[in-house]
Amino acid sequence: MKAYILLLVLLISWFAAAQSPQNDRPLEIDFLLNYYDQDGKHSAVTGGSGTEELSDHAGKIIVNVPLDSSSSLEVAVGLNYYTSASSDNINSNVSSASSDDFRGEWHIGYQQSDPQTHRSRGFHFSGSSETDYISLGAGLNWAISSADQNRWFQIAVSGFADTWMPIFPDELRRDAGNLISTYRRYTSAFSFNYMQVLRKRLQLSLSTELIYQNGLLSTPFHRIYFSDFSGSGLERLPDERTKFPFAMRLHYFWGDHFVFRLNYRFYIDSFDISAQTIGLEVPLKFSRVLSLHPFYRYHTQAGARYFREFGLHSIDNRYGTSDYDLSEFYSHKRGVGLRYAPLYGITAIGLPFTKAGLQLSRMQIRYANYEREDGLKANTVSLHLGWIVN
Amino acid sequence: MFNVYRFCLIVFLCFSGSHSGFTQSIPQRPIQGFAIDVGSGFSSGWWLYNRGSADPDILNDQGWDRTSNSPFWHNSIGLLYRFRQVSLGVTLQYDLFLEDKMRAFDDRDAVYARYPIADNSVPFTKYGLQLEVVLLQKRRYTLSPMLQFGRFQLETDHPQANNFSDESFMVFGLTNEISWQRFSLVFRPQLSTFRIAHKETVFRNEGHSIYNFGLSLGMRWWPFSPKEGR
Repeated sequence: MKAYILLLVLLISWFAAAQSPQNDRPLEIDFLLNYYDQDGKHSAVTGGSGTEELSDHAGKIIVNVPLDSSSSLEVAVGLNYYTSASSDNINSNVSSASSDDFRGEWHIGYQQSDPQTHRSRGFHFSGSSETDYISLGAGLNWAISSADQNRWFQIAVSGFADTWMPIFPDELRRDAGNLISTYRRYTSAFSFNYMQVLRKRLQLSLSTELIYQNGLLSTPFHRIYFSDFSGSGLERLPDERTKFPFAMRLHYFWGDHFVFRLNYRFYIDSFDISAQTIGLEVPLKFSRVLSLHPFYRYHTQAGARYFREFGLHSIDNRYGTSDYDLSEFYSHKRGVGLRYAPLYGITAIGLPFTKAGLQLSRMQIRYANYEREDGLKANTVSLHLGWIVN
Repeated sequence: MFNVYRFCLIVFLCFSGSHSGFTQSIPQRPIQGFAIDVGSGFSSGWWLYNRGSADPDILNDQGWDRTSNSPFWHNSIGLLYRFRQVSLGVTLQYDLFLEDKMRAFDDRDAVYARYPIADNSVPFTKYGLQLEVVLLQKRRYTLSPMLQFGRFQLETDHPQANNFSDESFMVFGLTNEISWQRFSLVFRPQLSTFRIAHKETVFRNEGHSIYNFGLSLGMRWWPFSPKEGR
């Protein structure tokens, strides 16, 4: 543990050294810790009937390094550890190798802005790895804003290439290779974002995205069960999918103490899923340093045409899934966050090998509760510590 | 079929090439000349043995054997020459795959079907070429996408080891470099892929793929670069 802390401090010193001494923007480091647990009774691993119990511990560090007055580099590294009673059922023996897993991820992004032309552009690379897949991603973005900063438009393009190491359900391993046509997945996304200040206290933003996926879109260890066949089968989905989300946000600043953040999202895809989400967050500022962030989100969706409940698939159907994320349902998510950000920071420490100091400038804790129509319940607690290097 | 990834790559290269885009505003040149490059790191990944397919219309009907997702330990030494934005070099690497068994495609927890591939770990000796192109240069910091490719030898007890041929590897990485006069510290997220073919094949697509994904840390020494040559 001491070695990890030492490595972390050395890396922060390394990033501090990358900064320009003429730069007056501080280096920012965000530590994010998250705990998530869920329980339900419709696991896709066991064909839509069985425990969905899962707990996930996640940690992430995001470092934002201003390279000069107009450009910055963002480096993020994250690690998840989860235990899952549902994925444990890939094998017939419980408490097997599939009962827990690690996932690692990284992201490197560069952003450059030109204050004279009011344009900015950037690129990023990312990657993640888990027991059964490796994913690589890259993207570009370009944005322009009006001289008074009241209007802003962004175009972004990104792509991901995933490689699966297919792990099939225990009883299907012998023949599973016949059932999939590839173990790669590709995702491309084009997004457009527009923001406008409508009035002094009212701000609107619109965003839309076109996402195209091809390759292995089913999950190799998800089972389905049939009404006209006694054994289990493998989840099968088409090898192409197009998604189209559209989102709108409206922010209204009411006095010095309230902000109303209303958001609405519409989603449709080629699996025939259509969904609508509406959310409201009302940050309440008690003072300049302390604010409370209650929020609520309602989601409703029509299910994919390939979805059937446990035991209702037909052996003659080419495609089928019992993943309840693709079913028809409504859900509620609610929670509250507390943010504390004193003007001169909370505490400070020195860094080795540099003249820089590390200051804890803000912290936020957030709790959320999620309930889905079919009985899935989940809780999330997250802690965000924001540091700056002076 | 329209290849989205080829299109994105072309757009990306146009956007970030040396005559336009990000690199146009490079205020200073990256360190030039020869460098000795050493590094070490960890990653995790797996070895997949594709037993192939008897039916040409089926991806795989003979099964995939695989290891668990296990750690790799990398060590490398190389010689690089950087001219303007491009670095070319040679690399010699020694990797250890910390895994000793493979799970057969029909392995079930109730009926184990696993076989050894090593006593403790599988060593790989890799040698090849390295190419880097500077994408971003800001004062001390340099960001360069990197490609390594070449051949390798391995020591393994895999049952097909005598049938191995055409062992080759590729490494895709993002080299992040911070320089002080003649020294650079380097950290690099990287994806490594290894391919092993069979001398004698029975089924279509028979062969081995090894993937790992992780982080390498290292340093570079530029002995002939001027101290104020940035």
